[in-house]
Amino acid sequence: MTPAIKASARYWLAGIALAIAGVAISRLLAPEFQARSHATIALIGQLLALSGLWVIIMGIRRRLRSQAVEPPTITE
Amino acid sequence: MHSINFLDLFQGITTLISSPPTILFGRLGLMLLGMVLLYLGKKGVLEPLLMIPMGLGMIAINAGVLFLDPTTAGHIVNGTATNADTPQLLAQAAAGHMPGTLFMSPLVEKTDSLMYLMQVDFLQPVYTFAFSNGLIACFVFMGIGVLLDVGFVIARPFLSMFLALSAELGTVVTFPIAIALGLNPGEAASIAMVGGADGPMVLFTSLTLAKNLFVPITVVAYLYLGLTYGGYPYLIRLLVPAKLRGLKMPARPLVKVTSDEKLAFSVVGCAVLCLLFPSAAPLFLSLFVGVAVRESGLKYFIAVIDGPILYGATMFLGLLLGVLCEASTILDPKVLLLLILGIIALLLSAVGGLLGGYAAYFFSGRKINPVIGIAGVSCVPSTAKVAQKEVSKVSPDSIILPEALGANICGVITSAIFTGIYITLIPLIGK
Repeated sequence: MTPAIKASARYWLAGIALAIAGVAISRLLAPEFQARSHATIALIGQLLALSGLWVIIMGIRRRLRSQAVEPPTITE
Repeated sequence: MHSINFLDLFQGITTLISSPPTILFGRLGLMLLGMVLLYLGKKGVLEPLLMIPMGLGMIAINAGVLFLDPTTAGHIVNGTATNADTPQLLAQAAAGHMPGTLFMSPLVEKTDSLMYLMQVDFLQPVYTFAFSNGLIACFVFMGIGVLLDVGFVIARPFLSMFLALSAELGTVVTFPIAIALGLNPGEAASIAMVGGADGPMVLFTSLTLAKNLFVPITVVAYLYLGLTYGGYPYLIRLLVPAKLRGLKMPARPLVKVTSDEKLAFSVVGCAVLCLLFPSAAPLFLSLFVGVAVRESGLKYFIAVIDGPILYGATMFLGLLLGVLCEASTILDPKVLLLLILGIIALLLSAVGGLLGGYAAYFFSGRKINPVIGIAGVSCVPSTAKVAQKEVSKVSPDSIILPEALGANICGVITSAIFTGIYITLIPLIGK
C-alpha cells in the first residue's frame, strides 16, 4: 500500500465495502422483489454503490487538505 | 454496332435523374451539406477532424449511386430484415434496376448476405466489425480516457459533481418531451443522450436502443456537438453578465492527487460501475482503461491510444457517418423531429449547467465564477476551453480552467452513468 493510500486507508476500505453492499443490493437482492419494489430497491443499491465511490473521494480530499500547501502570496 | 447511351456510362447522373423527387432533392441537398460541412471544418468553425472526412463521405455516397448487379442487389434486399415491400424490390433487383453504392449497406443483417457484401463494398468490413458493434465509439472513449486527469475531479468533488449533474438537464428533460412528441422510449432515450454532448455515448445508446434510427440520431448529435464550440459562447454572454464572467476565484491551496490514488480510484470505479450497469460496461472499461494506462505511465500504450487509435477511430467515425448519410437511408420523417429535439437537449444541458454555476456562485458566498457551469456539459475539453476563453475575454488574468476541467471530466463519467441507466431501464419499460 502506498503512503498516500495508507493515509486514507479507512476511507478506502469503507468506500469499497459500501460500494460492494450497494451492488449486492442492486443486483442480487432487488431481483427477488416484484416490479415496483424491484426498481426502488435497485435504485437504493445503485445510490449506495455510488456513495461508496464518494466516500473514497472524501478520503483523498481529507488527505489533500491535511497536506495542502498554501499558495504563495504576491507582495508589492 | 450498338449506340452508346452516355447516361448508362455516367450512372451517378442516371440514378439521380431516375430517382423520385424526394430522393433527387435529398441527394443534391446532402451533397451540398457535405460541401458546407467540409468548408466549415476547414475554417475551424466545426470540428475539422470529424467534419472533413464526414463532408467528403456525404458528397461521395450521394454522388456515387449506381444500378447494382442483380446478385448484389438480391443480397441487399434479402439480407435486410425490415424490407416491407420485398416482392417489388426483388423484381427491381433482378432486373438490375436497383440503385445502390459500392461503399456499404448498413441495413443488411443476415450473415450470408453480409459475407457476400464484405467482398463487394469496401467499407462494409469496417462498418460490420468496428462500427455497428460500438467498437469505434469505445476506441474514441479510450482515447478520451487517456486525455483525462481524474485528479481535477477528486480535488473538487462537490463542485464537479454538482455542475456535472446540473448539466445533464437536457439528458433528463428531453426524454419525456420526445415521448410526448411520439418517439418510442428507445428513440427518445437515444436523442436525449445528445444532451450529454458526448458523441460516443449517443452512438452507443442509439445502436443499442434505436437501431432503426441510429444513423440520423448520430449524425444529428455530431453536427450539434460541432456547434457547441461556436454556439455556447453566445449563450454564456446572454445568460451571464460581463461583471460575473470576469469574477476572479480565490487561489486554492496547492494539492497533488498521486497517480496511485487515481489508478486505484479508477479500478474501483470501473468495477463498481460495470457491476451496476453491465450493458454499458464496454464504455466504462474503455474510459477507465485509458485512465489506468495514463496513470500507470505506460508511455508506449499512451502513444498508441492517444495517437493511432484515437485519431484513426475519429477519422473512420467521420467517414462512416458521412457515408451513412445516403439520401434513401437518412431521409426519415422523424429526422426533423430529431433535429429539434437534439438542439433542445443541448440547449437545456447548457442552461442547466449555467444555472448550476449560479447556484455554486451563491452557495459559495459569491466566490465561484458561474461560467464554470457550462463545463459540466461533457464535451471534453471543448466546453472547459470555451468557459476559460469567455472569462479571459473579460478578465485576462482570471483562471478557472482547473475547476472547469473538474466539472468537464465529471460530466463524462456522469454521461456514461446516464447511458448505463437508459440502456438498463428502457428494455425494462418495454416489457
